[in-house]
Amino acid sequence: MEKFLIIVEGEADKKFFENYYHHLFHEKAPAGSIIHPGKDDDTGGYQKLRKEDAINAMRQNTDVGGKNLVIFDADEDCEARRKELLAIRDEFGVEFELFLLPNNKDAGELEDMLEQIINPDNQPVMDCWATYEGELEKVRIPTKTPPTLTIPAKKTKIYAYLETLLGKTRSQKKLIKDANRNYENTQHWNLDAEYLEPLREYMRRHWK
Amino acid sequence: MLFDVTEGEKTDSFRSFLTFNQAGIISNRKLAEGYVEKDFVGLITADLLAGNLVNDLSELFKRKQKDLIVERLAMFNKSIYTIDILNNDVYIGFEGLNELLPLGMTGDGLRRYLNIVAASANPMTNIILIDEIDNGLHYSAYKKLWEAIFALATTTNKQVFVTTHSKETLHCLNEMLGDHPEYQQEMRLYTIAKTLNNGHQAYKYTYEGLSGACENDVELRGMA
Repeated sequence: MEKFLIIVEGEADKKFFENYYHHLFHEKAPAGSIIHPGKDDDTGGYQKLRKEDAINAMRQNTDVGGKNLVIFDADEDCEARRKELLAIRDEFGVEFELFLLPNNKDAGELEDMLEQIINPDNQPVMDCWATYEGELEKVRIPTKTPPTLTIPAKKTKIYAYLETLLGKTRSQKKLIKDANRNYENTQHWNLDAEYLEPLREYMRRHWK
Repeated sequence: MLFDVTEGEKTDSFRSFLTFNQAGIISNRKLAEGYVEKDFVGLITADLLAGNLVNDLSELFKRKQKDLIVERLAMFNKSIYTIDILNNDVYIGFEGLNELLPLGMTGDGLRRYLNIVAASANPMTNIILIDEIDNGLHYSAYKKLWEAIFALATTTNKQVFVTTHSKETLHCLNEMLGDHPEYQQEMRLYTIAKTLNNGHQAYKYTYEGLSGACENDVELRGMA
């Protein structure tokens, strides 16, 4: 198997891809093959790709005959982000194949993809959340400036999704956190969902 | 061996000879005429006993800088209060012992640490080479050793070249530099790998890359 180096934006993405790799290729991702560059207190998400540890890791992997896969968030504008990342590629003279979450064509991020790959049996949980968001939108608090409320981020939605499905004990609560999730748990997630077809195809295409 | 040295417009050539016999032993050496070596290099190989301890310490004691070494030794082992050279051997003074102990009777770790610290403090050298720095040392000593090397090399204006295969050693370097921002720009890390497509390559890291790699557990030691 050609050496894979998968570069993602953060710890949450890393956990997802560790599970997804195992699901697709039926083996554990080799140690050090899924990395996220930069440090915890760095901001500017996609700019992390310019960090020395990421650039050196990509160069070295290419030199040993491996393949670099950069899987970052599309955020507000997929095509704009693609251009920005390819510009970094050209600036540093590195090689990689790019995929932008959630599906390489829409705006969004990891959580937008996760939302689409829940176990369909649990749809009622998401429907309740949608109702909750709708109700929040209607609320006005006269003593607050502005009187309208901020709708919780998608991350919160995913946290809540898992919390409702897991138990109340401390060890159960731990499983909600990004680093402890198990995306191969079919009670919660469907890694064969149709929504993942572009990602599946991308990873299979580059895996030898 | 032929060395061509260019400085600005001026180029000089120096021819030196080193001959090896069939047994691989140097049988003849001839230094180029007119070549004046201005660099004084200290070498500490991977061997646990390697170093030029008596020489390094003598240069320091001559300049009334024994305290510098004792201070560093005390950081390694709190009960050390003095060091001396007697009959060309090095002796260490430990609290609670009536006699100074010969260095050979103390631990290998202390010996290795002292060899490196003394080499770093010797004001007569301007370059030192340390091979497999982690060899013979307990991991708890790495950070103290790094700090000693940077502090002493700074005051004696040395360039230090170190090799290691130890992940722990690199992580301790990162930690030490985190505590001492004044040294962060004084360090460069080169990962040397023999690559399939591009032969031998060196990948350069500054403190930024080192700390990112340590935080994210990215391999710094070269891929197989």
